[in-house]
This record gives sequence, structure tokens and C-alpha cells, in this order.
Amino acid sequence: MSEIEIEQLDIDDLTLTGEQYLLFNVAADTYAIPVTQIREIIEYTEPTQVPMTPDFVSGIINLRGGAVPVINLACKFEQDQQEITKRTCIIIAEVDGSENKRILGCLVDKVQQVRDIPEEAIEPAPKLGSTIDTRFIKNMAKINERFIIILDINNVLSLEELEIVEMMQENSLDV
Amino acid sequence: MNSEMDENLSIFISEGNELLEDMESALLDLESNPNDSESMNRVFRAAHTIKGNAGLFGYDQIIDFTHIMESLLVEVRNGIVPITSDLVSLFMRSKDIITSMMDSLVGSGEVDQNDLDEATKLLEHYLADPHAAALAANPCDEDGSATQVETPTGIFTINLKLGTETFRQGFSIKAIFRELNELGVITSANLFMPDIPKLDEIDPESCHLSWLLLLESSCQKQAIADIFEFMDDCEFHILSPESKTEEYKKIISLLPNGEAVIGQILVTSGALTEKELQTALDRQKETGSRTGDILVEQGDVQPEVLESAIAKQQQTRAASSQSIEFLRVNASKLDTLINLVGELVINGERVSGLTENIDDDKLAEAVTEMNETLEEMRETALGLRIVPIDGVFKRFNRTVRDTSNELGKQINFEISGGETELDKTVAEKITDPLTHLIRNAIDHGIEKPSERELNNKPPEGHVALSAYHETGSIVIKVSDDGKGLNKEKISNKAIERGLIKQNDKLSDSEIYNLIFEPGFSTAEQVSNISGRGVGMDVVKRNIESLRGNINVESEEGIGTNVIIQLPLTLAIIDGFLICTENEDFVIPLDMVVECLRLTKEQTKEMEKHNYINLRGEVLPLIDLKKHFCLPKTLENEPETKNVIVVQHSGKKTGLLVDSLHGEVQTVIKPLGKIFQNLKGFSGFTILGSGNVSMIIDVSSLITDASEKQRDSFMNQPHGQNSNETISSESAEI
Repeated sequence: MSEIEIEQLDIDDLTLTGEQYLLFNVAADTYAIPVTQIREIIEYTEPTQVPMTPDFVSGIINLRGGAVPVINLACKFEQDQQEITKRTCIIIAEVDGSENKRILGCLVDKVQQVRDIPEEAIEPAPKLGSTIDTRFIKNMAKINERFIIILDINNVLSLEELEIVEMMQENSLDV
Repeated sequence: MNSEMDENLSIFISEGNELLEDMESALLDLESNPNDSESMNRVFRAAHTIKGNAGLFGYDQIIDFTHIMESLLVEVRNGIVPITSDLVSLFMRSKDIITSMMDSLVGSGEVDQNDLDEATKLLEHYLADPHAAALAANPCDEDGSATQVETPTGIFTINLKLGTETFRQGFSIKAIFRELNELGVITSANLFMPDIPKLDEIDPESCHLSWLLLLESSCQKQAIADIFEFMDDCEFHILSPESKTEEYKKIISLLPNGEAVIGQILVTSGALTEKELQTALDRQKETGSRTGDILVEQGDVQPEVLESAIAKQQQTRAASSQSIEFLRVNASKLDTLINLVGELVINGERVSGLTENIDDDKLAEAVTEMNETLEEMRETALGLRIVPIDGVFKRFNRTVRDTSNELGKQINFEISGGETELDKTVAEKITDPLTHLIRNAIDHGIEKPSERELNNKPPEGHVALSAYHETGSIVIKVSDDGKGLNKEKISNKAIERGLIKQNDKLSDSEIYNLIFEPGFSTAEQVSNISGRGVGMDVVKRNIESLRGNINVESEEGIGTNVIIQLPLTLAIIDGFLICTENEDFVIPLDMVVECLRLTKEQTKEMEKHNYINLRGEVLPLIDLKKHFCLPKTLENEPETKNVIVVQHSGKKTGLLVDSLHGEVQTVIKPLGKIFQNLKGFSGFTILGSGNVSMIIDVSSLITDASEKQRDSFMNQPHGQNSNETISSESAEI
């Protein structure tokens, strides 16, 4: 963990009114998730593959005796797959499932920092022109003339979708 | 405060439910054997404890109702009211009412007021007129029951010393005497005033009076003590009449072996009141002499009664040294403990891995010792959740009794293998499906007595419930000797419902398994017990959700067996570690029959057919890497391939893998909801290295593979050669 370098962004007008977010990189873009939804960040360990699941499911890892499914965000966002480096991390996030909270891991290329994003810097999600599925985007934040995508993590990792995709995958194999 | 209350409530409820369950099984025992005093006592104890617990929380409804029930139970225990089937049914009904009262406390369900009123009335009827009720129930036994009703009258000696505060607390001597007069006749009253203070120190509001009273009455000792109950600083001793001595001795000898304290034995028998005991115990602390001696000295009990109580105490002590003590623990705490132990074991293995290269004998010794302890700890921890299935099985006695009474069928219900152990969660979830199967067996399986006699069968139907362990799973069997399943009827119904086609050729077991299809019922008449066809599919679904499977065997006219096979989840299983395409998988060792090594030529040969010749038998193969669609990680195919032969429901199947890594001990952990649709795996485990490995569920893997095989066979034109895992070769097998 100590080897992860925190890259500081230059921020104008830093205020403490907004919510705190974790900023991280997947492929070329910077994304953010509210820290309240993050349980911890761990170093990359190679997940165990789970056969017959969609490609974006990297597999499961052992998190202190429990199995945590890991989602490859680059794959989920249909972005170019990056090589595994020492900066590759797994963010352990809490997702509100249909019944109760679930723990899921997100494979990301680099974790940047935790910072406040002032409310005035947050803009609604665009309907068009985004590189990823707009359902995954909760808001956009403009910091220092750069756009950061605030993810709707519940949608990204929505369980129902995972299950449906899984079933589709299985059915397609049968044919 | 609130949460504490909730916690207490939940303890009350869970303990209450346990007691009620015990009461029910005791009632059933009592019905078949009315002279069983131990069962009688179990019923009584359960009612009494529930009343006591309810009293602690002030649940008046439960207190009032159990009080009536308890009063009647006392009469029954003393042989005044005979035990009849009607009476047992009434107690059963009362038990159900108490259950619903407890449910209503936690907001689930409501108490049926009519039912409650009616049951109360019935209980009171028995109570008010035991003789008449007994006569009505058992008219021939007139003389026997009549003599037992007489309670002998005797003279109680009451030594009453009123406390100085008596008047200030608002008690009136007149009222005390009036109450005593209601119980019997005061034949003599001697007033003592031993410690009257000097005249100038007298406080007119203080009481310094003592009496020695002789009361002629047929009441119980406790009834007298109740009069003085609230007079805190009053000291009293009641010596029961000689005539009662025999009665107490008899009750003491009938007491269950459970209470080892002499005072408690006396209190339970009625020879001593709680308050007298408390006073005696207080004095014992001061003087140090024996409780029994103090009691006789104080004039609370006769020496003879004390002797029989001492004899009982010794008997009890001998018995209690054999009984096992139990502790009630919150299940989630256990789960946490088990998880923690699991983590500890994994970390322990990591530590031993890290220290392997350090040349230090003492360190190595310490690590080995630690690992041994950890291993033992893990086994013990995992064993904590394992319970015998007996607890589940016993509940069905009631189901059988009620169902058979309702249908007018005689059932001989037999339970075996109750000691078979399984995980508590599985045990809990299996209750509903089993209830359904048993009711089905009685309703559909067993014929009416008249019909049975025509078929040369004993009029009494036989239903058996058994459990045993088999190859890493637990097997539960529900069998009956009824009419069996009618294949023709099932086929016709299935054709009618469009489940199969007119000219489909089905094997017997395939036909029987049609009954698990949703909405399937061959019963011509829908009864309130079964026949709506909304059951067997639910049963099947429940079993499958436990990763088990269910099968039916039947022979027309002879009977039906329903066989449920369930995995022993969460148990430590011995696994066999295999590797294919750099992915590790664990196969439960119990499933493994043997391992084979194939040469490259054999492998090629095998790839054409998907089966090999194993000592003259056809061994179908599943290539795991193809079945699981694993990506290729190795440049070259390994020279030799390994086949691990597994056995499932009597059939052998080979799994083709890259390499074999031998035995490992594993703990099955569930995969979680996300992967619930994933077939072929029963869970995952964490290997010593800290890596996660999937555990292959052999039975569902084979089912899944054969389904895929069938689908691919149906979707592909015959003869087309395909590289798919499972191809048309199946037709040749």
C-alpha cells in the first residue's frame, strides 16, 4: 500500500462543504465514489476465476476468510484493459442490493486521493457523449477544468444485472 | 433498556418454544403410556416454567391461561383426573394456544379469542368437576376414581409470629383469621406475647403478637402460606398434619430426578413453602447446620418427609452425574467464532510457510505446536454448529398424530437414525419439506384400514423416517407401506398437462419424478391436507436450494420411498485438490473413487469419444476446462492428462484435469447471492496459501453437463463433428 503514490491535483477554491470522494483511475479516465460507500482499499491479489461468469467478473478474492467477488471496471466500462502494475488496486465497496448491503471489489488501475468535492463543482450527468454507459454516471464534477465522473456504484454493480448477465452467459454456452 | 427488554423477550420466546415442544412430545408419550410419571412431570414442568417466566415479564394472558392448565395438570398428576385421548388433545390445543400467545408477543399472528375461550372453558370444566369428567371419559372406572378424590382432612399446626410492622403495613389480624376460617376450622388458638416491651417504650402501632394455631382443614400447605405471603416481616411455620405425611412421601417418590436441592424437593412436593425454605436457608448461613435439620427444628416438616426427600436427593445425584449440561448461545456469535477460527487457521498456515526457511528449532517447534492447537480448535468450532437430526424428527410425531386422526387412518410411525448429525441451518430448513412429505405419505400413500385389509396388509399403516450418512452427504428417507405410485396415472396426467408427449418413453424414475413438476397432482379429491399439487414442486425447490436432491422409488401396492440427499454444508470436508489451466478446484474426497493417468495417445482417443474404457466399463468423461470454458493459459497441452473418477448415485464419471495435487482439508463457505445461479459448485474454500478455490459439486456438475449435452445434441444436426465438450457421442453410450 505504501507504494501507491498519491497524485495531488491542483485545486482551486477548496471548500469543506461537499461530500468526500475517493478518486481513482480506470484506463484513461478519472472516476470518483463517495467514501461512505468504501470499506477499504487493498493491494491487487490475483482473483480466483469463477467459471461460467461474464468477463467483467474477475473472480473472487479472500478477504479475511470471506469470498468477495471482484469486478473489473475497465471491462465493465468497455475500456482498454490496462496491465497489472504495482499501482493496481481493489476497492472494496458496499453496494445496496435488493435485500441488504453487499461487499464487492472493484479492480482499478490507480487510486489517487480522497478529497472533498464542493457541491457547486458537481454537474448533472450528460445524456450523451460519455465514454461509458450513462446509467453508471451519477454526476460529473469539474475540478481544475478537468472532468471527473462520479459513479453511481449501485448501478455499476447492480446485483440484478450481474445475475441476468450470468444467466444469459450460461444460456449462450448451451447452444 | 428497550433493547434489553427485547433480548429478554427473545430469550423468553425461544425458551418457551423449546418447553412447548418438550411438552408436546411428553404429551404424545403420555397418550401411549398414561402411567408414565416422568412424561407427566415433563408436561407439568414445562407449563410451570412457562408460567413462571411469563410472570417475570408480566404477560398476564399467558399466566392466566397456563395457571388453569397447570391446576388441571396437578389434578391429573395426582390421579384425580384420568388421562384420556380427549384430555391429551385438550392439552395439545392449549399448547397451541400458548404458542400463538407467544407469537403474538413478537407481533406475528394473533390469538384466536374464541379458541382461547373455548379451551379455557373445557379446562375449567375438567377442573370444576373432575369426578364427572372422569366418569364421562371413563364410565367403567367408577370406584377407582371415586376413592382418589377424597383428600384427607388433618390438623395443621401453625406457629405465627407477626412482625412489628404488621399494623403499619395495613394488615388486620381479623382479616387473617377470617381467611384461615375460610380454609378450615380453627380448633385452638393460643396467644403469646413473648417480647412485649416496657410500658413506656410501647408504640401502639407496633405489633408484638404470636399465635399457636391448630387448623383443621383439607387444604394444601401452600394455601395457608399464601395468606401470609405479603406480610414481609412476619415469621410463620406450618406443620402439616400427620395424615399428609404419606401423601408427601408419595409425591416425593414420584418427582423427576432433576432437582438436587433438598429444600426444592420439599417445596415441589408441597410439604414446604418457598418462604419457609428461604427462612431456613438464611438461618443455615448463620448457624452452618444442615437445612433439613433446621426445617425439622423449626417445625416446618415432619422427620419422615425429610427422610424420603433425602433419599430422593441421593437418587437424583446419581442420575445427574450422567446428564450433560447445555448452554444457550446466540447462533450469530457462533458463526463469528467459526469465521475467526477460519482466519486464524489460514494465518497460521501462512506463518508456518514464512518460517519454513528460518533455521530455528525452537521457532519451528512453537509453530508446529500452534498449528496443532489451531487444527483442534477448528474442528471443535465447526462441531459447534452440528446438531443431531433428532430434534427435527421428533416434531413429526405430532404431525403424524394429527394427520392420521383427521383422516381416520391408523399409523405406526417409526423414526430411526435420529443421532445422525447435520448442520443446524440445514436442519431448520428441512422441517417444512419433511412435514409435507409425511403428510403426503399418510394422505396419499397409506390406504384406508378397510382397503388395507382387502389387500392383506395390516390395518395399521407404517410410515418411517430415517436418516444416515452416505458419501459426504446426509440421506433422509420417508417411506410408507401404502399403495405406491401409479405409473399409468402419472403418465396420463402428465400428458394431459402437456408435460410429456403421448409416445415419450420414460424410465420409471423419470415418471416418478414428474410428481415434482409444478401444479401436478393425481389426487382426484382435494383434501385440506394435500392434493392441491402445490407441494411437491415446493419441496423439490426447497431441497435444491440446500443444494440437495430428491428422488422417489415406488412399487405399486407395496409402498413409496422418498429419498432426500443433502450436503453437509459447513462441515469440514476432506477434499481432493486438482488443477486445470492453472486454476485450482477442490472435489469432495468422498466422491472420488480413483485417479487415472492418460497417455497422449489415450488423450487423443478420448477427445474423439468423450468416454474411455475403464476395465471393460464405459466411463463418460467431462473435460473440466471445456465445461467451465476456462481460457487457455498454457502454451502446450501437458504431456499426460489425469482423470479423476467420481461416483454419484451409483454411476461413475471421469473428470479430465491437468494435474492432481492430493488431499486437502477444507471448509465449505457459501458463494453468496451473486453466484447463486452458478451450477456445478457447492461453495469455495480458502487454501493454505490464502488463495480461494472453488469446490466442485459433483452431482450438480454432472446434471449440468448432461443437460448441456442433451441441449447441444438437440440443437445440432446429427453427425456433425464438433469440438464442443459434449458432442453427439452420447448417443453411442
